[in-house]
Amino acid sequence: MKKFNFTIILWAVLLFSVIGYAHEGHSKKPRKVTDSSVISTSSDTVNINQKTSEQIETERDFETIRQDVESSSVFIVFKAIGLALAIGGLAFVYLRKGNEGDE
Amino acid sequence: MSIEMSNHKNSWKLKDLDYPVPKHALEFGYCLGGITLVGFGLLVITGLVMALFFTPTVDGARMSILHLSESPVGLWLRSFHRWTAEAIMFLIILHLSRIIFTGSYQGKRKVNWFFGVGLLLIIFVFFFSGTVIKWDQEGFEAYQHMLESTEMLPLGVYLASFLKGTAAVMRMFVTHTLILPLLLLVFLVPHLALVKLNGLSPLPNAGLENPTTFSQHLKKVLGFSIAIYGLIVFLSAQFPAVLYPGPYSGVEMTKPPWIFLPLYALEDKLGLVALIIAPLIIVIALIILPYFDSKAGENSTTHKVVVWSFLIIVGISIAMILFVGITPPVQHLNMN
Repeated sequence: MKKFNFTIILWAVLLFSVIGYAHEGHSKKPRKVTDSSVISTSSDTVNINQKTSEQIETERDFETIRQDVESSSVFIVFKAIGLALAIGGLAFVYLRKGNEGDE
Repeated sequence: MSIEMSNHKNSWKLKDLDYPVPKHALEFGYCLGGITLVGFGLLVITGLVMALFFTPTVDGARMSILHLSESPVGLWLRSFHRWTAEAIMFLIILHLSRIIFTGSYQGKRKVNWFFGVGLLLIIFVFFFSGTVIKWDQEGFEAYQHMLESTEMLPLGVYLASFLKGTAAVMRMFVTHTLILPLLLLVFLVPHLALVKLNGLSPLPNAGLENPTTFSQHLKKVLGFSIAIYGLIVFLSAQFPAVLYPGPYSGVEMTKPPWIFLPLYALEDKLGLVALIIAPLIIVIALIILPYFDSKAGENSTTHKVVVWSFLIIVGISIAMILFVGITPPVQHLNMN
């Protein structure tokens, strides 16, 4: 019984600590992640010329990401429908076998 | 045909695998665990080869994958690894479904169910860590989600600070290639041993069946594996695995792999807290399941409640995958 109460208290601590979390709500400009950017959090140390070339690269990369994400939708739909059909098929086979015994 | 060991007393023959098992061992539903295991073997082989070309650093990870992908063989290898990993997620959910439908977690198989739940968790972490270590935009966003949700746990701030920094990719790589495989073995060996010890779970209301042999079961597993992974060989050549540009901090432009999309949908509604609460509820539900529906071999009302609850949850999850799959990505994080 004591063990059971202790488990409940543990879960309660876990849940309340999660609920107590609050967002900081600040947003930052997109920045490429490199070894140096992981160490330094300052984004104001790049000069104007670098920014221009970086911006071009960033825009090109963002466009590629958008296109890749968009084209992945087709596969997601196929996989989800495939999973639904496969689970449905298993349910049909094994639940039917279970019910046959009841009749 | 036999394989003889040097010590004659302990000689082991392939014929020893001819011990009797129920005939339903030849059905696809009862071969799913074996097919998944074959897939793991393929992942280990392809993963080992890729590890030889991988640089597990923030600057080097994506570049080394790009370099590997310049060769058609390298690109196919990476794609095969990714498609096989996805197939394993698919197969493991089917394996779980079959076990729930046939009530194979009941009675003496309860302990093995717990090992199975452990394996399920390990496989999900495997898939997640594999997504992170490629360190492209998708991997970086997954990593940020992991960090921010870890910080929400008690003492999570300390764990998150350990995971941050330039060693992030290396730590995830060690997790993916060393810690998780060892953990997998710790759970897999007793899981397989208990299947042998308890025997294959019975088919609901099957009555008396003519037995077959375990070697016949292995042949079926091999046959299904050749069909499934053969298809993946073709898919990997036709549809190579995506490697996104980046990574860029401060933006969230991708969506997680399809299997995590129900969590993503919940995150849209409830925030990051959903990434902690939802898996926690699922794991607790899976752990208490054999206690809730404990009467072995009975097609009881409790079992019907379990099966229909499972089907409803699966239905909602698939609807979430479809919805998130066709809608644009949403920004959830305060990414640094």
